[in-house]
Amino acid sequence: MSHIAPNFRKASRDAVLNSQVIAAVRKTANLLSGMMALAVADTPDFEALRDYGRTRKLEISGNLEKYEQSFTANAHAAGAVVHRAKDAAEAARLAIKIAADNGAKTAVKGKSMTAEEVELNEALEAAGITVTETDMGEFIIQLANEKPSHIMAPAIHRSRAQVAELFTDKLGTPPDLSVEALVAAARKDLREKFLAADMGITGGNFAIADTGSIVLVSNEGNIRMTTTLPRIHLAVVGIDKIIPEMADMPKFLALLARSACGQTISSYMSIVTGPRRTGEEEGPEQLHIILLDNGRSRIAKGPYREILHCLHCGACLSHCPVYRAVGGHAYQATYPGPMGSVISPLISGLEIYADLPNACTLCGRCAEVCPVCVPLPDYLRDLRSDVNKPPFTMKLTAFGANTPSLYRLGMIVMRRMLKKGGKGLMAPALKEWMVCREPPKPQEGESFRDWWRTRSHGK
Amino acid sequence: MILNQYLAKARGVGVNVELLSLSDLNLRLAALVDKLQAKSVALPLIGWPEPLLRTVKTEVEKCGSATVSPRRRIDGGYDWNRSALGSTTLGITFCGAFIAETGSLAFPSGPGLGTLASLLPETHLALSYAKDCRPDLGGYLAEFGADIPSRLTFVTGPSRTGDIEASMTTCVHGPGRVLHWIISA
Ligand code: SF4
Repeated sequence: MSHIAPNFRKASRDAVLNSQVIAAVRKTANLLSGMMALAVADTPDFEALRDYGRTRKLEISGNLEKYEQSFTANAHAAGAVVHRAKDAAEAARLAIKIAADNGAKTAVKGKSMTAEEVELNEALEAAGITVTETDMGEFIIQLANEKPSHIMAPAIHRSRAQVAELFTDKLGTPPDLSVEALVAAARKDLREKFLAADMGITGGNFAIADTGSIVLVSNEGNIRMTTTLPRIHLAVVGIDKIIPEMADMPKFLALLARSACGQTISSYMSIVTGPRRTGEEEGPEQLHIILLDNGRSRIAKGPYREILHCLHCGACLSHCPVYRAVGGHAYQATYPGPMGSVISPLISGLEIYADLPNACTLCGRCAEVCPVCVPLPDYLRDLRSDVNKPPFTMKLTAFGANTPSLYRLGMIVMRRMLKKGGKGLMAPALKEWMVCREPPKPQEGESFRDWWRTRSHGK
Repeated sequence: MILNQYLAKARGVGVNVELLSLSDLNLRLAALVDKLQAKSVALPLIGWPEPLLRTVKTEVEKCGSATVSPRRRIDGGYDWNRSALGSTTLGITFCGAFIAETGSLAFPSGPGLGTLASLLPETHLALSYAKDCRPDLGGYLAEFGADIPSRLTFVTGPSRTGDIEASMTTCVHGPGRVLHWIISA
């Protein structure tokens, strides 16, 4: 997505006006956060689990290289071919080569944000390989030729009616189908593709160092199909997904499933350890794993290391007031929302995504819900100061706020202005802020300061 | 105790769980095959306790349904007839471990174990013995030690999606109906 210079200010301004998208995003985000709250309330030791998650992840991100080596050795021993890609371009090159070496022409794909990050579909399509998205949400946005707008619920911005319209247009289904009928239409369309595909492409929710396994969860069953039916399975996994032992997995899974959509576990979990073994009637003949670095080992050594702890549950997105107001597309990045506003500039460069750390009210809800306690608000604040020195007006404001006499004067001026509906001296400086807001009305009668003064004198 | 926990969990995620005595099995199987009008049934032949498999296979065939199973090759390995498997409407599998903590059925892969029978048909029936209930996922995984199968699959309820307006809808790619009959000793 680096082809056009992202402009969050403009995109978000347009987005807030698109009431259809915002209504769809809010509806789903509310449901998701509601389901998470119920599941967390139902888990008495959830806080202890979060502590475990954070502590264990600190240990992992501090020893990334060691665990990566161990994963690579064990996956190799299980019969997988492990590749390492230092950046997105190398990952795409490797994927094309794997397909070409095996004469693969068609691929079915499970939802993978890592594959989005390296723009895998675009690269494979350019090399003449047809890629079909099989996750329901991804299937919808592929038909619509869009990008995902949420890391867990990619088609969160589309209403049922819009999906029905899209299906009629692209698949020739009758108009205005119910959700059930839409799902049935997708099942039929995709079943044949699963059975015919040469290659299955997935991400990985966890990569387990001590066994060399990839763990994949899904509710739909498309991941099972993708990892079982085609003769080649390619998993693109960020090195941040590595966890030390199989014994760690149930705990991280418990955190992920509850935070992602309020489940104890997803409908399906596949633990994939190497390709099909001798005598087995199922499974791919070859398993290729591309371990993607793309800045992660650099991030692990820097001040924002804990962003690598992210489980990609999406909770911080659904709970973020900014995300809920503008939707995912306004971020113009693979990863939107709070986690995206941290990871996107770190991966692609702060100059490209300089706006994103500002797409935050510092309300702190993201850190409150994050299952592994990533300090997202702190990181966003620190990234802001990495972007630039504070502008002059802000310095002036800071000076004023630190000088009691100036502050008092400022408050008097502010009250006067607000009484006149916010027009006056400050209006030009607050122009952007006023685009989509009404200035607050000062309370009737005396101000707090006046009231305080009479009250303390009266004593 | 853990069986009750399993029952609650599995029912909570939409699995149709029942406790059954062995003597009821024939009648219930016949009724199910009849209700689904299942012309062919996916039925792996490996990994079962022998008498249970014989009961199931005989009953299904008695109902006039064909069974589709992984076929043994000359070299000792197994193969699925994929197109025959694709047209089955019911898959019956033995489930040797189910997890109380999460309400999950566990299916390790291995020659002839045919885990696709729990994925491709629209209805999946898993049969277990009550004694095979495990308390939690971690404990079950530890049973394997370093000897993990190539694919270890956990099934927790029917195939579903919330991708359209977060309204949960079943039968996306896998079975829309999961039945689990637990045979009490
Ligand atoms: S940062 Fe935390 S809350 Fe946000 S997606 Fe990652 S794990 Fe979930």
